[in-house]
Amino acid sequence: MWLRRLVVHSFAGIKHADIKLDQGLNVLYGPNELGKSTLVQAIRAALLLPDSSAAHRDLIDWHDDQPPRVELTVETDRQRIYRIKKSFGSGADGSSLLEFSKDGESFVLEAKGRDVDGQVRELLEWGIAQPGGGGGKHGWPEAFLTTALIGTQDEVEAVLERGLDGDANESGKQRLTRALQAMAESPEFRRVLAAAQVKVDEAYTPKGRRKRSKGSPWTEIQSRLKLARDEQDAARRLVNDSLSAGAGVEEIAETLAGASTQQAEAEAASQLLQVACRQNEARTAAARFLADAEKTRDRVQAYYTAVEETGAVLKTAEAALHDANAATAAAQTALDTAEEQVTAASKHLVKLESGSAEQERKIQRQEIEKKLLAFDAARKDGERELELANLAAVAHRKADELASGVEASEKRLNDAGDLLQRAETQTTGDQVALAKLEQLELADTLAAAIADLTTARADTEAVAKLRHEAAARRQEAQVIRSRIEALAVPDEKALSELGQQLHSLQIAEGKLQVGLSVRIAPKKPLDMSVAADSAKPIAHHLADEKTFEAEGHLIVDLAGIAEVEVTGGSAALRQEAQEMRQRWNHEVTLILSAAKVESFEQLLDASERATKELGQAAALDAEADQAEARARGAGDAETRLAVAERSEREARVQLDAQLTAGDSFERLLEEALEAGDPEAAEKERQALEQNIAKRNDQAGALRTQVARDESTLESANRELEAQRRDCKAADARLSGPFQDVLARAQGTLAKITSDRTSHEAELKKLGTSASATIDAAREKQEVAQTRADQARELLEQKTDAASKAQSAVTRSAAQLDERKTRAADEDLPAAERLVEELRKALKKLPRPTVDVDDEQLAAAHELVKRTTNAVRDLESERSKREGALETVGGQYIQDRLDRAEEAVESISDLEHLTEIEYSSWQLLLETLRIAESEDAVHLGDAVVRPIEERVAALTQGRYDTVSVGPHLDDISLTLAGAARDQTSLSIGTRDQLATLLRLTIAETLETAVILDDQLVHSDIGRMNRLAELIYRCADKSQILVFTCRREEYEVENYTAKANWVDLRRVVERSGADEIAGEV
Amino acid sequence: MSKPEAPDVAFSLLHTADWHLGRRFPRFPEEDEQKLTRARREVVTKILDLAESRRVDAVLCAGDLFDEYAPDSQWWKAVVEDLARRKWTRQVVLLPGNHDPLVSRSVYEPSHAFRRGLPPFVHVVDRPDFELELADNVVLYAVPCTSHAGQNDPALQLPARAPGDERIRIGLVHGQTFDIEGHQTNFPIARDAAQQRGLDYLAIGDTHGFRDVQPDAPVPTVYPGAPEPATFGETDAGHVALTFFPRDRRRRAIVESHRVGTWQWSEQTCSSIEELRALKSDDSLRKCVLKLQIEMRLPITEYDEAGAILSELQGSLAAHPRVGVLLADRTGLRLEPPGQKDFPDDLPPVLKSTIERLVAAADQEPERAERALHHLFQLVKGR
Repeated sequence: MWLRRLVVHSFAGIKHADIKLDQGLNVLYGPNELGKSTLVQAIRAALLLPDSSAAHRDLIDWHDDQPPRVELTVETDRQRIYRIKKSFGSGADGSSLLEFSKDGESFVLEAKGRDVDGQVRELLEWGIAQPGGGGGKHGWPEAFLTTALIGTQDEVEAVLERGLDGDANESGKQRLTRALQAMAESPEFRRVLAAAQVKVDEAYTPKGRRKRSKGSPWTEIQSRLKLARDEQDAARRLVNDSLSAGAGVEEIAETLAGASTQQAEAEAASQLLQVACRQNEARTAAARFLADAEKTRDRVQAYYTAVEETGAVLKTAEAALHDANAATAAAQTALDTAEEQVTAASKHLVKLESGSAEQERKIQRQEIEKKLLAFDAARKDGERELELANLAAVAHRKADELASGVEASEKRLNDAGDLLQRAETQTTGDQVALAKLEQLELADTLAAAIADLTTARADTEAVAKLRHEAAARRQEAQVIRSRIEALAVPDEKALSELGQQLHSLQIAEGKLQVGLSVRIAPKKPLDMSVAADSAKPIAHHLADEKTFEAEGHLIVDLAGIAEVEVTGGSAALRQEAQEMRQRWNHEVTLILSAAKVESFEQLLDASERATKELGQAAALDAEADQAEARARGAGDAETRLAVAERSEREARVQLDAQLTAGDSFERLLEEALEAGDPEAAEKERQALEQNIAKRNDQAGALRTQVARDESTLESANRELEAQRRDCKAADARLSGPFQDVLARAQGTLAKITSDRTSHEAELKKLGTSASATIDAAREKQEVAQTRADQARELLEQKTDAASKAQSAVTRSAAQLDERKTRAADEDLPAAERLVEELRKALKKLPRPTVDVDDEQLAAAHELVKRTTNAVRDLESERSKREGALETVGGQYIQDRLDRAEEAVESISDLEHLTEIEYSSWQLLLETLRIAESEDAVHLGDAVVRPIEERVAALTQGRYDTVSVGPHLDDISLTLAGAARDQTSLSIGTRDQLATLLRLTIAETLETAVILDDQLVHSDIGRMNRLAELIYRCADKSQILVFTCRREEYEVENYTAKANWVDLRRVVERSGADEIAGEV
Repeated sequence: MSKPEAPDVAFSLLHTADWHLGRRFPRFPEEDEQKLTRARREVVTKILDLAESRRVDAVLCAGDLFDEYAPDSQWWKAVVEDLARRKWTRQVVLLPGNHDPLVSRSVYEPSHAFRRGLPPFVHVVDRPDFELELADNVVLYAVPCTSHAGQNDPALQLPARAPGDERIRIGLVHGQTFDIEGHQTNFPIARDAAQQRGLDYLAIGDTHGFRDVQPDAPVPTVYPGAPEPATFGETDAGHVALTFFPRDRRRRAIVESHRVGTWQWSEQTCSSIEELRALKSDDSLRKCVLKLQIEMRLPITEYDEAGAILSELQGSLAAHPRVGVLLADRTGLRLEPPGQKDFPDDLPPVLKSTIERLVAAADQEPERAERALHHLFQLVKGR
């Protein structure tokens, strides 16, 4: 280490100084009182003194109230330059900074405050305790190396008295040991050590940490390892996502399988109930049909029976009528005959009684001729009636022909109607199918809307969940804050003020720690106890003089004599400390009580915990912010949900409008899902529309034909009706049915012809007159009259009977016609066949295996619907999860993870090998040093040779040998074979010996050493030789000589090697006028 | 089965897959990784040169040409340049695989510079009903991967042979013909998919080793494998398939495996110094990626020699490596506990003391102490 620059302000008697130093020898010269020792003190203060140490009061400028400041730049290794800046004083006046630089130009902050002294002491390795440990004289930390390297003017010889074993820690000894041992080591050992050091330096910092700089073997490995681990983490996350998605698919598949089973079971149960229900319905319907058919058959049968019965009645009536007519006719004939016979007998009698026979015969002839004429007239009537009957028969035949035509027309019309109905039925079917397609389209739209709605609901739920999480985080954070608030821990500012107060208190109390020393010289042995500072009293039996020391408080209890209390500091300082203590106790007690802690340290801990918890609260708030941001990032899920709900509602309304009886949303949605191919549906729709159009055309043609046929049928009916009216008119002209009239007329005509022939024969017989016959004629007349009367009476009876029989026939015929008409519309065999078929069908129908009611059936339907919906939802979910799995999963990502893991493993192996490699170098180096340390513990032996050589050179061989103790203590010289303890040497020789030891140590450590006008007791000869030695030592160390005798260091051939610093040019004294005259 | 002579061949094609251009090898140091990635690019040129020299009628690339769907431009530019400089009439068909699926922003998107830079004879399978007439009476059907994973059989998505269709029908898909537990999503391909779909040849990609899936089946289903191996343990990687369709349609297509790869990947364990010495003279290792496991305990002189051999195999700035790429695991290389006798007699006491201390330390931390002893041995042996 060497010192590069020293800058001081307001430091003791120096207002300002700025000194640049070189490696090697620096001779800083100037007159007395210029501040040379002050500059040495400034260097010591920069390196050793904490900024708030009580010792700083000695450094305060006598002419200035500014806090003393010092700035020292040192270089510990090549390109390792530190700048120490300190301002000394209490409270805000005290400050420390440690800065680092590689070039000495630009510095970065390395440490500040209390840490500065800790780091500086680590850098120096001078055996000084870390700050807070025991201090040295007047607060200046002391160690062997502080004495040897930067000792003050008044402790020149202290290095001879002090060894390393008095140091606060081992660092100084270790450092010196390393350096001194290196001097004593074999070249081979040094080579091995250096090689090991090179390897260790490749990988580790001086503190044994891994090097992070460029060129370090760890850098590339760590960089590769980080990349590989990042990739591994990313791939593992994806694999986990994939596994999670896969598990999700498997889970949903299992759930789906269960749901499918439930659905199948529900469907099977429903199917069973439906079958039973259908069987019931079928049997009920079949039984009803059978009953109807039986009724129909019975009714038809009754018609047929009635017709037969009526026919029989009619036949009986007709037979009776015929008999009555025949009887009437016979009675009439008999009456006619009888009347004719009466008439004839009367006429014959008249004729016989009053006329001539001729006249009678003539009258008879005329009568017969009249009868013949009557027969002719009757024949004409009969022929006319026959003609009328014939005309009626023709009319009836024509009417029958027309009826046949009407029937054929009706059949054609019915056929066309059937075709039309079939076409319309098919068209209706197609229209139903078309409507179904439209329903399915709407159902498809509804399904899409439902899917969107499901997604939107999921999004909304996710957003709600995020908001819920955010609210929970905020609540959690609020709970933490409330708890912290309840703790009543002062805020950071108050705590800082308390810290300042405590600091001031410590300073005030520190001011009392000035260092006490009480020397007790008993006149006689004395028992006593001594309590130093706050330690327990220690009993002593004092026979000789002894000095007791303490920092600020010492109680000496002279048993039975007196108690002596010694305190440090002035009364004012003590008063100040006491007041501060009281104030501290007063203020802090309340705060500690409020915070429920017992000490300021606990308060600090509580504050730290509170800060940490507030940090957690802030983190929770951040998480809440993130959750809210994610919720916001999810967009307006509610709006999307509302839109989706509206779309779903509209789709449902549209579909609802298209629903027909028996349809349900669920079934339509299911059918829409199954329909699948929209193109096929479109094709089907087009085909249906074409079919409907084609069938509409056909139906139109059929309707035209039906209209035409109906028109024809109507005219044919009209014609038939007219013909039937003609028939009726013809029938009306007849005395009975035309068939009867026709038959009767033909019979009458035949009888007339026969009667006429007999009358013509009778006419021929007339010729004989017969008076004799008058009597006979009279008798005959009377008989005839009697017969006529009897015949008339009989005729009346027969006529009445015939009239009744005619009425019965007419009534029966009408009844028969009516029943025949009714029976003609029925088909009894068909009715019987139908009954038989229905009976067989009913018999064949299976009986239901279970009893089922509507409620059970509805429940089964509901279960099927529910399970079907569940299966559909699960299938939809499975599709989604499968989609997610396809996006993230598969061998691809597993390959990626495998590669990343291989890389991590491989690079970790490499790191392990590198670690083994370099840590084995480290182990070798450590082991070398341990072996070295334990093989060479006598430091005196290591340092004695150069000192001996220099003493010999300085004293020109006056002394034989030099002896130095194992801890660089107990230095002695051998003069003429006799050992001379250093205390027995002259001041000058001791001064020189101490200087040589210090130079040797500085040379060994390759560091700076300060010589502050130390060789004032040397004669000119030794001074010259010593100056030359100093120049030589400056080859390996930096030597700062502060002197008022510049010429003593002006050595021939060496002078130019030194850096000469005229302190008058670089030091500005405070109150400069006072010493101006001295220069 | 003998390869048909040219007049007997109705159609021929080169079938390749799994180039995995852009694949990184992070387990290797950067220099070695560059060797391997460079080889992947160079093998593409070899494949296209082979297609030219063998005058095949078409080139089919059955997926995973790139290691990811949007690789760095250096990878796809190299392919474009290599294809674009060829004045071919033979058709080249590129199929997206599960590593480079046909997704948004993939190189296969029509707007991507890769697609736009491809010459007209190169076709990308960018729709599920892809059909391309490769020649008279030769038709190709292909289905691309559109995700990293899928559960549907892409081969069964190919159209079946229509009655009366006498053409040579070739299928091109990417997936696996075997089941891997936990990887049901990796585009499973039915082993008899080619027969089900009435194909004459089913060209597939995914597995990195060459494989005729069912050599006894009437229709070949073939993995050509990766033209350059991608890791250790890939049997028969480094090939492409040359396929010849006989004019006699009753005969099965002839499939010839042709090596194009530069690197062999192998794993080896050395259990003795002799085995290790033998590696020095094995010239075949110069194009080998060797994973070497050292399992031996040696006296310090041989331990030293083993270290020297490994350094020689690995190469240095001054000497070429004897192994192309060496991945040596030397954790199994152990030192027999040495004693003072193994070191020079005239060492300074402090070094002798150091040796004793290190030997003692080997009980606690053998690896470090053995290496430290070896370092010390090396430092003092040649003094």
